[in-house]
Amino acid sequence: MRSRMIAGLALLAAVLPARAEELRFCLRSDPKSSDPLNVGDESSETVRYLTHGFLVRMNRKTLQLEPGLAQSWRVAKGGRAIAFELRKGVKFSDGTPFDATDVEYTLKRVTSTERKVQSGDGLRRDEGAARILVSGPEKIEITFAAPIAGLAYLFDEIPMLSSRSPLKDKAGLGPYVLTEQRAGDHISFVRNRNYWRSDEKGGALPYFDSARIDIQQNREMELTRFRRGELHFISALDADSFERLGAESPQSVKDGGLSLESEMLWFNQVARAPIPAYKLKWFRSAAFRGAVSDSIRRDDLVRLVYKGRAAPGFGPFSPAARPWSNTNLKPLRYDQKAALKRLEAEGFRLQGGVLKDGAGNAVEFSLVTNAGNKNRARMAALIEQDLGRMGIKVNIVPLEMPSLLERITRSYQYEACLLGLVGVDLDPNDQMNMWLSSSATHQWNPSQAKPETAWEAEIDRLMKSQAAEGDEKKRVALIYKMQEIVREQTPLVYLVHPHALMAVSPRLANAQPAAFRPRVHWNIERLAPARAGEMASAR
Amino acid sequence: MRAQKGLLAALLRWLAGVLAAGFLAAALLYLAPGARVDERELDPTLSEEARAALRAEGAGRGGLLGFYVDYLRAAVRGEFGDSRTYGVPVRQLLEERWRLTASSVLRGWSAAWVLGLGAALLCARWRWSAGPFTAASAVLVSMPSGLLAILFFVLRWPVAGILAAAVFPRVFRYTRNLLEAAAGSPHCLAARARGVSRGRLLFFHQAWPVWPEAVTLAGVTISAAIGAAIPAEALCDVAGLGQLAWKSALARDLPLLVALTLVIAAVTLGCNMLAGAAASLGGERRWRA
Repeated sequence: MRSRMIAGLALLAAVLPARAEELRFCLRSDPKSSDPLNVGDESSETVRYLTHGFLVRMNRKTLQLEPGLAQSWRVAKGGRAIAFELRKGVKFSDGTPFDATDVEYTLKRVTSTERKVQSGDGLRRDEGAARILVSGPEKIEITFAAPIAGLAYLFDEIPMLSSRSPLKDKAGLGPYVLTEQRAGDHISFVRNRNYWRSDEKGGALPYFDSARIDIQQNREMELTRFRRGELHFISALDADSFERLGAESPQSVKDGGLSLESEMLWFNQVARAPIPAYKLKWFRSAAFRGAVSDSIRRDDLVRLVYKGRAAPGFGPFSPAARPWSNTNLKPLRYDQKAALKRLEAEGFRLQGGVLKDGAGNAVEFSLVTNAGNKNRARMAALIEQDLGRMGIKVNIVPLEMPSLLERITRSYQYEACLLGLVGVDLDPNDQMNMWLSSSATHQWNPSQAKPETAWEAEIDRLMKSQAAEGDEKKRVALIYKMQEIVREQTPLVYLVHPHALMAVSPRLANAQPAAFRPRVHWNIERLAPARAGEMASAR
Repeated sequence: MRAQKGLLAALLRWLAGVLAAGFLAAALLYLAPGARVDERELDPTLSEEARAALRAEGAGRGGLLGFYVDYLRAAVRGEFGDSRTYGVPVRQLLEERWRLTASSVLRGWSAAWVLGLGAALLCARWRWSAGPFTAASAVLVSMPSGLLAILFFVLRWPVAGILAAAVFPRVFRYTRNLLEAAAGSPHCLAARARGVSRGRLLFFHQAWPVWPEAVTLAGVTISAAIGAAIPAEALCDVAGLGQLAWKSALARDLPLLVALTLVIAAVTLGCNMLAGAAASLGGERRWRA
């Protein structure tokens, strides 16, 4: 009798997904925004990912769009219109029904030009307002004044809000409901009882009954807690921690391959910057920037700093960003002779191991970077060594982040800067603000009233053209051209593209770590506590 | 009347000290590089409008003196503004966290006193026992609070333990010196000559007369415990006022840091003031006796 009961319980445990455990992971900082339409930071994005629903969702593994609240969609009129067919019987977390009027309500807020929200940036057009047509409780069509590139993908970032719920924007269609938020400490969630998605066997999702996100700025502490079994996963590990953890527990570490991130350096080209005129002249010379790029041994950066878990810098789009990365371009290689040749053509000459410009000024510059980042400190040291061989003296200046930001965004009191770019979205429009010369994040020479150089004007044109192009092949051609100009002019010296390194506990089942953010919890509703048997097999 | 005047003067000194500390914190942060810059400005996905709004928010603080006067006016009503780092009212953050820090400080400080004073008394009674305590005290005093915090975090010991470890050497060394000095004083020599028992000599002739100095030390060590709570909570990731102070300084969160400075200054200066008053009262009584 007893053995039958045990066998029955074991069978039940095998059939039912394991529940009742709390999913735990960390974020580096508190969410900056509680408005689901105005999300600009990773923490707010994560909270929105847990609490809100989207018409379509991009599978981070396959990079294909999958049905969300919309069971199907169709892009028409050359990228000017999109029609959705919604799922039936979907309810918000408070039980309010969801239908096309909610989509209309959300899209009106998103496309409004009076009170602009961040989520609608890609959908707002200067040419005119969008026309929204509701033709039934489950049918809606949106027509824009001009074609929009990657139209369907933009809906992966627009959370659907309720037009009728008394909870207003707090009513969500995501797998979890926020229950408690203590600034700087933690955020707690419970399972959304009205969540619309179910698993293949008809079982309710999500599998974890609750989730807790701890705010943990210190990466070492996060790693220690993961080792203790207090966390289910870490979304971003540095190469050192990855190696250390991998040595202890090889099944816990996951290398998701090349990410969209880039580490790069750039020279200050701002005309009003408080730096000597002769230095500004160097920094504004494409030959000088190109020579610096040629003098850096990127393979060493990959091998010594990233322990082989990165690829040498390539350009604005890491080789992982297919189809946008221009594969026709040759990889950037160390070539000291070519670098010297370029410099000599510009009037520089190497005298007694010191590189001097045409006026006899020794070539020397300071390189600022953020203090406390081990990888950047090591890269800066290797760059200093590489450029030293060319007779260029580099003074490394690590600065606290606020001080660094003030220098690169306000006072422009810096000569060169080493920082990273975190690519969130695969679409080139994600980098639009970085490349437009009028933008404040056009780092080497921001907020230009009109493009100061012909090549920047051309990049402006190419970026704007691709954003309004509905045909993906034509967009790719425009982006390829833009990358050729960037390679020729080298406004940003790309150093490495790091891999997406993560840690996933064997106690977590169904995780499919991906290179694109959110890397581990992109399928959060399917993450489940691993049963004892699964844990043993994972070991 | 004289006592009332003295109390009023002490309160005014306390208030001036608190206000000066707040102003100093505001001035340092105001002049610090990056005080008006928001990290989100670097986000290339942010629209130009959103970026302009962030810039306007940073630039709209006006002059330092004007800011501080406005801030104090609001603080009188219990409003300390909104935290830039956390995006919530500073008052809410203080209310959520003060208990945790107060509890850690109180437990750590009490443990340090029990251990420190106990060890000092043991050493005074049995001189041969001084070696291990002196060595432990030397090790702890030479160890930065940050290192202690990492050690305690790895061992999963409470933050109060870090504070106790930081305060213990001061209590032990100072009280031991006091007891040794008292042991050589004429009244102790006379008592010993009269054949007073060792225990009685220790408690009534050595320890009791030095209590005013010990009370002063108690006030000072509360400041030390609060000071140690900042790196300890930050490194152990404990959501108390110490962690808040650390993060607000790094993030140049002006309203939050000024509020924390006012609170911490009020507590430490208040403790010192009370300890000073108790010590002077004790001193007067001793003289009168």
